[in-house]
Amino acid sequence: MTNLVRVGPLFQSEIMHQFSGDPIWGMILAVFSAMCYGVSAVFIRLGLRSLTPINASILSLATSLAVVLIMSLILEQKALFSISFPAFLVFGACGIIAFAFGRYFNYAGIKYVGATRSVTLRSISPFFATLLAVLFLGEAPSISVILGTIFIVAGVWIVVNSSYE
Amino acid sequence: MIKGYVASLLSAIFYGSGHVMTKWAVSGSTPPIVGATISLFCGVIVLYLVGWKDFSFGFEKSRKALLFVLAAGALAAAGVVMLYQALFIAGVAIVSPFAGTTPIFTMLGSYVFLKKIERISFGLLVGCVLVTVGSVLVTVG
Repeated sequence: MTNLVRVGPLFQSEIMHQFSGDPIWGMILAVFSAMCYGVSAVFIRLGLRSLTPINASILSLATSLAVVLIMSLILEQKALFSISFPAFLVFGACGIIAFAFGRYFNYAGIKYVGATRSVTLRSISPFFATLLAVLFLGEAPSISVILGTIFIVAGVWIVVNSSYE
Repeated sequence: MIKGYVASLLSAIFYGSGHVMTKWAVSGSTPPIVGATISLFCGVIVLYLVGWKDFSFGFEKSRKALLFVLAAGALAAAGVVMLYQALFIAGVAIVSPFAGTTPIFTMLGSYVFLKKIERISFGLLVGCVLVTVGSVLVTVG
């Protein structure tokens, strides 16, 4: 463990040094991230046959925390224990909103309408962000945003009205 | 059914708001993995405080179900770390369209693993693809 902790930051910095100049690694990581989330929702659907959404959310969040904490201790031990209070507050707020409430409602949705429907509906979140920007910041929507909104509305309508089994 | 749709939409709102904050937060000096750890820590604590009365481990009901949930948690952790790292390397504009493809993978996973529980109808397939493409267009727009 001590060796790993010593090697950790070096390993991390080497990776960052190699990757930071090439956005292709960002794209590859993003696709793998989407794959992990996608399969995770399928596994949750299987788990929710016996567990309640609140139980499943707490257990899965605790598992996620254990995995990430171990990686953090190995790779960024110093930064973990020297995080500033404002940064702690910001990341903490992100966690409460996205992980506590976002994940609980996501699992409740999976329980009642299935993994594919729930994850599809959940993925319209950029639409809400854009809507807020248009309503409160006065941003003018681009053609891409208007087209995307039409696709989302049509897609949601089809998903909600498609036969459920 | 309505309960499930409302829950899914609330989830979209919470995830959306959380991600907007995360995108802003990871542009600071804190390493993404540390940010993810803090976020998950606060998330677990708050969710446990909210739901502790109804919480039980559920071992007695099904050990298999518990294993699936734990595996899902580990996969979600890998997803979080990779997403934070991707945002750190390439920025929101490049990462978001790729990160938005989750429903496609869920659909493929459902087709493979959930054949007995969930059927992927043609309508669901079309709706899923439309929403995914729409979300990517909105994100890049």
